[in-house]
Amino acid sequence: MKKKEFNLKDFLINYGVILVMVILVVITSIKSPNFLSGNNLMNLLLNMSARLVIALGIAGCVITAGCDLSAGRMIGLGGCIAGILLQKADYSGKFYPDMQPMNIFLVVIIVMVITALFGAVTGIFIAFLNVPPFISTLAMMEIVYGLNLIYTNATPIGGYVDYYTALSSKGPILPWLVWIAVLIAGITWFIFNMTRHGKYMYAIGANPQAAEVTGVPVKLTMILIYAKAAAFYGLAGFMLGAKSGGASVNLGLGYEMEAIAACTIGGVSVTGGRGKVSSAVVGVAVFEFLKAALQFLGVNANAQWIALGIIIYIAISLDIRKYVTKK
Amino acid sequence: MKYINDSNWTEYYTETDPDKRKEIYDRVSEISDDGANDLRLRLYHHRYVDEKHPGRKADKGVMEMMIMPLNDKPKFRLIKNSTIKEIRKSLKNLGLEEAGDEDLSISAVYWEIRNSARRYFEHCKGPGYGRKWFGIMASTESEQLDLTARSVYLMADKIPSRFEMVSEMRIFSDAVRDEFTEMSPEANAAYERVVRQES
Repeated sequence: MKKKEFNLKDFLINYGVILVMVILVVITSIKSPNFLSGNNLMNLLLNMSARLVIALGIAGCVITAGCDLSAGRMIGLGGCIAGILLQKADYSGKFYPDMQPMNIFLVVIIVMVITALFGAVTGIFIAFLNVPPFISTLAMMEIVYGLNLIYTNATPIGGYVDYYTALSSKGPILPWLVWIAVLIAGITWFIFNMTRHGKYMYAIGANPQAAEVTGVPVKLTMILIYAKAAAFYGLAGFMLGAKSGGASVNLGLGYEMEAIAACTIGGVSVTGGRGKVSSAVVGVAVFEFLKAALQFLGVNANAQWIALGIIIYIAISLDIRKYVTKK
Repeated sequence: MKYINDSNWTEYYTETDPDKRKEIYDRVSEISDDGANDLRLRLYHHRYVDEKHPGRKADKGVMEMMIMPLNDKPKFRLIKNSTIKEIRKSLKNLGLEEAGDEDLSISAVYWEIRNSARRYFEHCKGPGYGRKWFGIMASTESEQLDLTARSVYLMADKIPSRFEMVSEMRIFSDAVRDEFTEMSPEANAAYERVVRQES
C-alpha cells in the first residue's frame, strides 16, 4: 500500500484547534514569561483535574452518540452534599448543627452513589423509553437543580474541615486532586479498553442496531454508562469543593459544555463509536491552556466566553467533517 | 484468491437469520456433502452459541465487524503488539483458525465471514445508524453508505497493511470487501471513493 501523502487540509481538520493552542501558548509565554512558571502550571493542573474527571464521564456518553447536559448540575449537587458532610464541627453556619464531619472516603462514596442513582434514572429513560439523551439529560439537569435548591435552600456551603481543603494543596509531589484525576483516568482507560463493558460501549456507539443482534445488553450498558458518568460528576463536585473551599447550587454551571467541547477537540466523535481517554486528556489540556493564555494576554474576562464559544463551534464542526467521507 | 462457490450452499450463505440458516443447513446437508459440512456446523456453533450464556442470542461474527475498525489506531501508540493481539483474537472469533490449507475449508470460512459481513451491512441502514450531532440527527442513506464503506476500507485494507498482517488477514479482508462491493454499484463506488481518498 502506498504511504499516504501529507495533506494540509486534513492536518488542519484533525489538529487545527490544537495548533491554535500551541501558537497561543508560544505567543503568551513570550509576552508573559510567568505563563510557564511552576505556580501557574500547578494552577493549570489543578483546574484540569476536576474538568478531566467530568470529561471522562461525558466521553462515555459521547462515544455512544449521546451527550450529558446534566453534568453541571450534578457537580453542584455533589459539591453541596460533600460540603455539608465535611463542615467543621464548630462552624457557625453549619447546615446540620449537631453533625460531626464524616470520614472523607465515606463522603466520596456517598456523593458518587447519590449522583450515580440520578445517572441511572437518566439511563433508564434513554434505554427503555428511547428518550434522546439530549432531552433526557436536559430534564435531569432541571430535576437535579430543583432538588439541590430545595435541599440547600440555595444557601452557600462553607467552613470545611482542613483535611478536605488540603486536597488541593497537599500531596506527594502534586496535590491529591491531581492524583485523583490520574487515578480516574487510569480506571477509565481500563474500562474502555480492557473490559467487556468498554467493548459494548464502542459497539453501541458504532451501530446500536447491530449491537442488539450480537447479544450486547444494550439497555443495561446504556444505564451503566450514564450512572458511571454521573458518579464521576459527583466526584468532580467533591474535588471542586475542595479546591474552592465552598460550594453552592451553581457550582459547575456550564461545565458540561466545556467537557463536551474538550472531548470533541481531543478526538471523541460526536457521531459515536470513537474516542479514547487520551482524547479527553488532550481536549481538557487544550481548553485550560487556551483559557489561561487568554487571561495572560489581557483579553477581557467577558470576551473570553465568546472565544470559548467560537472554539466549541469550530471543534464540533471540524469533527463532523472528519468522519464524513468527502465526495 | 479464488474461493469455491458451491451453488447448493448459496441459500445458506445468503440467509442471515440464525434459525433459518440452521433449517437450511439441516436440509442441504441431507442431500449434499462436499466434505465441509462438519466444518460448516462447527463454524455455525462457534459464531452463534455463547458458551458462558447458552440461552442468550449472540453473533460473534457481527460483533467482530463492529469492533475491528476500532483497531485502526493502536491503544498504546508505542506498543503495536497489544492491538495485533486484539486483531488475532477477533480473527479467531470469526473462525479463521479453522481455515487450514485446503481450498474447501478456506472457502467455507470465507463464505461464513461474508455472511457475517452481510448481516452487519443489513444493520448499517435505518434511522439508528450513523446518527449525527450527539444522536439528534439521522444520517442520509448516502452518508450511511459512505460510513460503511469507510469501515470496510479500515477492515479490509488499512488495518492489515498498518499492522503488516495482509496475508494473515487475507480471507477476512477478501470476504468483507467482496460482500460490500458486490452489494450494489453504489456500494462499490463508495468503497472506491474511500480508497482513492486514502491512497
